[in-house]
Parts: sequence; C-alpha cells; structure tokens
Amino acid sequence: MSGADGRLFRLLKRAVDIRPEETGVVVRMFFHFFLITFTAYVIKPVKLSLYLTFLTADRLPYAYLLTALLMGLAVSLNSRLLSRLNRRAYISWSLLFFMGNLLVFRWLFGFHWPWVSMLFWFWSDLFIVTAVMQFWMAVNDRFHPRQARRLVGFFVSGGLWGGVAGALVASRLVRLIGTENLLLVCPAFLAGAFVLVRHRDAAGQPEESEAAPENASAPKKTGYAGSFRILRRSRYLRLLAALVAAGIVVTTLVDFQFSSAVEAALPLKDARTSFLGTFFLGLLVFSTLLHHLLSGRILKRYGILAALIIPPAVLFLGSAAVFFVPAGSLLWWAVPVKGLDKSLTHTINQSVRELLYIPVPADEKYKAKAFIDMFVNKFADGLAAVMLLALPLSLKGVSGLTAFFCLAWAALAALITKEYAEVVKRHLKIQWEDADRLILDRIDVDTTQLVFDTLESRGRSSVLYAMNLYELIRRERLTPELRKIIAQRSGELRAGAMDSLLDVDGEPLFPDTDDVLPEETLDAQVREILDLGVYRQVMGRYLEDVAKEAGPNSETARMEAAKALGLMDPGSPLARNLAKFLRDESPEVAVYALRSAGQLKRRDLLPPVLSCLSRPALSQAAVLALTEYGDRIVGALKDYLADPEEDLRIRRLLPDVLARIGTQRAADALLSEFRKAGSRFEAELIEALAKLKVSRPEIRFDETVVLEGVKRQLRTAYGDLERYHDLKPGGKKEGRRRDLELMLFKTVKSIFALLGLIYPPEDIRRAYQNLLAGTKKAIDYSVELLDSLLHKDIKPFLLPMVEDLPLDEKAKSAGRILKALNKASAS
Amino acid sequence: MDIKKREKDDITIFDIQGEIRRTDIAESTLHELVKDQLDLGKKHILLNFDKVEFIDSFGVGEILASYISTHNLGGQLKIARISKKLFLVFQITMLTKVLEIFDEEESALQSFLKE
Repeated sequence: MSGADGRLFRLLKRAVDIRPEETGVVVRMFFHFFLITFTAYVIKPVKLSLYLTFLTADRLPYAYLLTALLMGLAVSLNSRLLSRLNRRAYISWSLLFFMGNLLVFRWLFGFHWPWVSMLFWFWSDLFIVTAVMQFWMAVNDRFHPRQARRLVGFFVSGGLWGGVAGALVASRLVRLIGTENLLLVCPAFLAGAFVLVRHRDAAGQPEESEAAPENASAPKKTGYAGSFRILRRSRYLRLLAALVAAGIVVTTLVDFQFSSAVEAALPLKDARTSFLGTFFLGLLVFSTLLHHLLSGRILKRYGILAALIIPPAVLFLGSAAVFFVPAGSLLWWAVPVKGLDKSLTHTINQSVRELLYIPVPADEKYKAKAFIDMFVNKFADGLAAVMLLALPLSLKGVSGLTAFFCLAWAALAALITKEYAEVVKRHLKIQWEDADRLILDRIDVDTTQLVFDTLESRGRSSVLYAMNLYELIRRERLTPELRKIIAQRSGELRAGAMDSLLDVDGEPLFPDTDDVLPEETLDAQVREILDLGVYRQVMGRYLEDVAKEAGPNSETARMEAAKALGLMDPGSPLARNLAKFLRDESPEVAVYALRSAGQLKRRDLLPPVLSCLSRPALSQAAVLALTEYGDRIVGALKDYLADPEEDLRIRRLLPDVLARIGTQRAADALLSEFRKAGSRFEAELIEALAKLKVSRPEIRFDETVVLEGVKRQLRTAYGDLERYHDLKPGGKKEGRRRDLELMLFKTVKSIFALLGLIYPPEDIRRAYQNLLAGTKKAIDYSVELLDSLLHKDIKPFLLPMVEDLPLDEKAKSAGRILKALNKASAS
Repeated sequence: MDIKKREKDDITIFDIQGEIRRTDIAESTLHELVKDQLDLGKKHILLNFDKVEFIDSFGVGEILASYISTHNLGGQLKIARISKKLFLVFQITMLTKVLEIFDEEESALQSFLKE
C-alpha cells in the first residue's frame, strides 16, 4: 500500500470497517453512488414540478401506470443488453445514454408540450432505477456477503450525501436559472460517474472470479421469461419480490397523497421546484441522521427482522394519523409521512434489501434483481395506480389502503427473515461428519469389545470363551458375519484343550446344525441353572476360594469368576464376591469384573467401580460400567463430580460417564457443574455436553447457562488474544505466541460446541466447518449464518473473533472487545 | 429316564438313559439314588451320561444336589460321557470348574483309583 493509500485507509477506518486492500475500490464506489444520487435528486423535484404544471396531480395515476407498463419493455431491453455487453460496458454506455437524454429533454421542454412531462416522468424513473440497480449489481459483484455487510452502510451514506448535495443545488439554483435549466447541470456529474466506472474496473480485480463476473460476459439468456422463471422457482425470491412490491405500493400511495397536497398548497412552478428541492434536502438530512444514528445499530443489534419491520410499522402509524388532521393542514401531515417513507426507504429498508440479495447465487441474482428492481417495482406502481384510478378514494381513503399494505409488508418481512437464514445455510455444506456421531451411527463399541474378548479368551480359557460367546448370543449380536469372523479366528487357535467339545464335526461353535442347542434354549437353560439354589451352594464355595487367591497362576480362574458373576441375577448372594474382583491387582480380572458390575448394576458395587476410574488401565472399562448403570446413579455421580475432596482422576472422567448416560438428568447434572465459573473440568464438561447433544438431540439445555458459558469462553479467548498482541512476532517469545494460537483454536472450538447445545447443531457444525475451511467465501457465508442465528448478546463478541481477518488484526481490537464483554457481563 | 446301577472296584456307576426332565415322573430321582448309595457307605460315584439324549435345568439340579451330598460326606462324584451340548452349558455356568468331567468312563475310573 502506498503512503497516500495508507493515509486514506486510516482516515476511512474511522468511518467504516474497511480492510487496507479494499481502500481504492471502496472510495471509487462511494463516489460513484454519490454522483448517481446527486443527479437523481436534481431530477426528482424537476420531474414532479413539471408534471404538476402540465398535467396536474389528478393525472398522476396515469404517470404511475404508464411508467409501470413501459418499464416492462425496459426490463426486456436491459436483459438484452446484459446478455450482449459485458458488465463494465453495460454500465458505461448506460451513463452516456442518460447524459445525452438530459440534453434532449431540456430542448423538448422548450416547446411546452404536456406529453414531454409524461415522457420525462417515465425517463427519470428509468434513469433512477437503472443507475441505482447498476451500482448495487457492482457491489454484489465485487464483495462477498460479509464484506458487503460491512460496506453497504458506507455506500448508502455516499448516496445520501449525493442526494443532499443534489437537492441543495436544485432548491437554490432553480430560483436563478428556472426549473427546466436544472437538467443541464446533470450530465457533468454523470460524466464523473462514467470516469469512476471506467477507472474502477480497470484498476481493481476481484478476488474470486466466480463471485465477480464483471469482466466476464453476462449469462447467455437473461430475458424477461428467464428472469420470471427464476423468480417462480424460488420461494425466497418470490417473497423478496412480494416484499419489494408491498413497499412500493405504499410508497406510491404516499407519493400520490403528498403530490396532491403540494399541488394544492404551491401553485407556482419554480417555487414548487424550490420547495421540493428543499423538501428532498431536509428529507435526506433527516435520512442521513437516521442512517448514522439508527440504521447500523438496528441491523447489528436487532438483526434483519427488526430492520425490515420498522418501515411498515412506522408508515402504518403515519397513515392512521391522517384521520386526526384538519383538511386545511394536509401538507403538514403529508410532508412528515412522505418524509418518513422516503427516509426509511433510503436508509434501513435499502440496506436490508441489498443484504437480502446477497445469499442468492450470482447467476440468479442478476436476473432476479433486474426483474425485481425494474419490473416488480413498476408492477407495484401500476397496481397502486390502478387502485387509485378504480377506487374513488379521498385522501383518508388512500390512507386506509396504505395501512392495509403496511400490514401485508410487515407479514412478508417476517416470512422472508425466516427464509433468509435457510438460504444462507444452503450455501454452507457439512464437510465432514462429527467423530462422535460417526461412532454412534456406525460402531457398536460394546459389541466390538465383546467380540475382541471372545477371540482373545479362546486362547486363554475355554470357559471364558464359552461365556463370551454366550453373551454375544444373549445380546443377539452373534450375526452370521460375526460367526464367520470367529470361525476364522478359531481355525488359527486350535490349541485349546476343549476344541473337540467346542467344535462340532470340525466346525466352530454354534453352526447351523441340529446337533446343538437352539440359541434361545441355551439362554433359558443357563438362566435356570444360575438361579438354582444348589448351583449357588456349589459355586459359592468355589467363588469365595477363587476371590481369596492372588498372583498370576490363578489369574485366569479369577477372570472366569468375575465374568460368571455378571451372568447371574443381580440379587444373587454370589454377586457380592464381585467387589473383591473389582479391587483385583490384575487389570484383566478387574476389567471383567467391571463389565459384570455394569450388567448387575448393584448399588453396593458403585464405590469400587468409581475407584477403578483412578486406575488408568481400568478407567475406560469403568466408564462403560458406570454408563450401564444409567440414570439411577446420576445423583451420585453429580455429588462425586461436585465434591472437591474426591480424587481428581475420578472426577475428571465423570462428565464422560454422564454424557454416555445421556438422559435429561445427566444433562442437567453436567450443566449444573458447568455453571460454576472456573470449574477445573470446563473442557471435559463442554466436550461431554456436546457429545450428549450429538447422541440425544432431543435433550434441552438452559439457554442462559449456556450463553453465560459462551461469554466465559469468549473472555478467555480475548484474554489470550490480548496476550498474543503484546508479544512481538519473530522474537524469543514466538513459541509462546504459537501456544496462544493453539489455545485460541481450542477455545473457539469449545464455543461452537456450546452453541450447538442451544442452536440447531447442524447449522453450528456447518458454520464451524466452513470457518475452518478458511476460504474467504466459506468464512463469509459462515459468519452470515451465525449473524442470522445467534443471540444478540453474543454476536458483537463472537463475530469479530471468527471473521476473515489476520490474527494480528483481530488481536488489535481484543482489549476493546474484552472490555465491552466484561461490561456487558457485569450489567 | 431310566437309571441302572452297577459297581466296579468300589465305585458305584449310574448308567443314565433317555431324557432327564422336570416333567418326567420316575420312582426315584438321581439324587435319591445317589443318597441311598452314600447311606450304604459308598462314597465313589460315577454318573455315566452316554445314553442321555436331553437334560434340563432340573436334571442339572439333580447332578449338583448329588455332588453336594457326596462332597459333604467326603466322597467323590464324577461325570463321564456328557454331550457336547451339556458340556457347553457347564462351561458357561462355570460348573466345569467344580465338577470332574471325563470324555470316557475308563479314564474316570482310573482317576478314582489314582486318588
């Protein structure tokens, strides 16, 4: 960046959230819009004043109607030009065309033909719609959604200042040179816009050609029918068209009332032009204030819905006010209502409408935008005109009609806001499945473990092998595929002493022959035997003896005993022996005992099972055993988790157990612990909460607690970012910087895990994965989705953290954001 | 169920035939027959299941009750020629760890003599 550009950037940075590389193009586009609206605001008072002079307000509906009808043809012509010219040529030639037209109109007005004012009415509408549309098309071409969202407000203010200047010139100059001669001022300003367009397109190249087809030819077929088909296919675009139409109908009705009032109050042409110029000036000053003070804040703080609802709501109230105004003071009512309509249209409504186009695919956007801006606009004008011509309405009657359309407009605003989030989502693909989800969907961990045990036990003990196989049968997991796997492995392990008994005619256990017990008979028989009093008598003695043994020689016997106890009835007195095996020195024995404990779910075994969490070799089996206990032990686990006296190694694993239990009570227990700020297990708790949500999407989490947690994480992240900012790159502390980067990455991951608890997890996953994808477009859409999804309390703090900026840039504002976050949390 | 008794080298051998079920009504149960022998002072019992086609949990209970009675009097009860199916059930229930089970009658008899 050159020195001049750097200074310009720093200057602009005070007014707009701009990036250094955007400086040049943003300045040129700001002035492009300034010059367009300057011209428009010189033309506007001239147009209305001359029409009222030659044709009167009563004939205004004809002008609306004619414009509406001819604008259809203009749309068609515009489509053809789009298909034949590239974007740069299209905009340039349009500007030259309009410059020439202005000179011709000045000449024609010299003849005082009434039809010229009708034709000029149509022409000025065509100019304003075309030039403004071309500008916004250029914005859409050039910028990604998130960029556009940052810059749209700045461009709108360029338009507002252009309008203010144009209206000021019109109101002052008209008294010196007359209404018609104002038209001679305009071509000079359009020439300036022409130069900027040529220079901008020559200087700036878009980052991603896909999103900026300015230098490419426009889509091949963009005719009226094609544009209409695109609209018909898309519910979102239909809603957008209807929203625009409702707003335009209201604007046209308000314009009619205002023009009638002006005609009645100001009969002299130049005085009227001057008044209109002053009115537009006041209007734009008001709009500018409104834009700077409210527009951005409303969008940022309350989102699109609020910004869309405000204009119809205000105009509804304004229209209703006519019923309380005396007939002689109608101009005093018409001026503020018209002022409100126009100022809201120029600020909040325009900003939001342009945002609404952003998630539409580029190829559809141009066609749909051209159709809506040029055809739907005028169709709505025509509809308003037909209603004015067909219905014999007084000014108050027109106000009733306006109020009705305001309500329809508000309803459409609500509908399109809902649809907006959906359209943004469709741009973001889920790129990979969550690991937890994959495991849950595709792998039965318990069965896998059992199959492994079955194969492993075959070489160690035929009793263990038989018991493991039996358990597979009992769980109905001995599928034909699994039989095959076990049979293959059995072939490798024929050394076992009981092979001849376990195999039937050389086949592995449980082949499909009549020579073995049917699986259901086997299960019934085993259960009956285990319940026999004599069995308990016989085995009681044996198990007690085995439990007393220690050392490697009796390890297999202890494993068998631990396994067998799990097959018994939980109420069996023999099951008490399991406590000894849970404390067995051999991890293999203890693992079998843990599995049996999970099957029996005896409360008296809970303390020794929990103790196993502290033994690294047993912790995973202990987690699974506790999970088997299920919801009934959630209260006990919660107490253990909260008890600072308990072994840390045990407490650290309890979130995972609760996540696996996966009930609402388990979720509440996790959240209750998470609520405590500064918990030692915050990372484990977040991971467990996210895991639980993946496995049980129906579980609900207290939004307030989760949002508080998100803010806590954000504070951690901004704290790290602040420290990162304090460390100079490349120095001795480069390692520390990298550590902070890693910590930041983990914290952001935790934030998204928490967001997935209270927002649709699919959307959050989409947003997170697209952020990680790291392309500008993916990040922009991702941020856009988050913006439409998240609670207003966290948006201002989360979005700066994830937006597409170098970490050093983000770090610069970390301190400020952290301060604001602390302030927000304190309040 | 049909149970025949024979003796060899001070060992009482019960040859069991047919099906051992709860629903079968026999004059004497296996356990009663074993107890009779224990009362007579015969403490070496071998149960030969060679011709047993089916045995349910009741039958297993009879074997276990016989085992306990013999064991309590300091005697020995051994089993020979049980089916693969029953052996599998005994393995699953871990009874193979307590009961002495032999593939052949001869090896079972030899084991009595060795002790």
